[in-house]
Amino acid sequence: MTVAPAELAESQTKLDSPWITVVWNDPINLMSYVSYVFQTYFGYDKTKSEMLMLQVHNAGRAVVSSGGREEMERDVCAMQAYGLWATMAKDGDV
Amino acid sequence: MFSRSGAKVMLDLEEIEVELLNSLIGQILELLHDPEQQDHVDPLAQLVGLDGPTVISDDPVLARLFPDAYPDDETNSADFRRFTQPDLQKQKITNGHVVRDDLAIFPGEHAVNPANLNAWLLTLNDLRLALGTRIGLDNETEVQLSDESLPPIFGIYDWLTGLQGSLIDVIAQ
Repeated sequence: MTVAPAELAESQTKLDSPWITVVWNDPINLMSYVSYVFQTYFGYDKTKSEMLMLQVHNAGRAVVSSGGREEMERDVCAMQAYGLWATMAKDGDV
Repeated sequence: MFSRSGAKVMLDLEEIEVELLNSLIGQILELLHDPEQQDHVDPLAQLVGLDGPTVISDDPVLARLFPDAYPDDETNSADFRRFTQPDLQKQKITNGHVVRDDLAIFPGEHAVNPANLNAWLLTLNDLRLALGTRIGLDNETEVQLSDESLPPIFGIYDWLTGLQGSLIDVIAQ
């Protein structure tokens, strides 16, 4: 049986900690760009980056990282520096 | 467009494309309140870090570049904005200057300094975000951007998309 990517990402998030960074779909950022940003900033491999990018594109948003609040503020700030539409929330609030 | 030639990243631009990029970068620098284009910056406020805005901009482009970090939480969004937006603006301004300086040797085909490619990538993205927001692109609208009956701004946006796409192809290899 294969676990759906979304479920996998969610269960991983819950293990760690209470804050998450969410990237939202927008009509301007190129899919190749979003995937490149995930690879470059988070160091995710190509497969994981493309999976997250497709989740943003198809589901409208994706949880791209999780951790402490300060850490997530750094991630949101970095995503905004790249021009991605990113927000943060307590895990479970979104 | 960008291309790779051995270890080098090349960029080929016509004169009108150079002029267009310079003009668009000038506009975005103005929107970002580049200090070089402003009369007065309060040095004390800058020193103590009180110069950051606390509410999302009325301007749709600035609102898109600097969205609220905490949806539905004004207080935390205000703090986040106050501490992050000045630096983010500064980064965008610096990137814009890097690209504008690089443009000085164009038109024609020239190698771009690899250290400057990130500034190019981010500036082209900022320009696309600005133009795309101004022409009202949203998730619900599907526009055939190459449609020649549309105003020129659509064609410019389409061209920027191709230019940025060519850069991503080259650096993501």
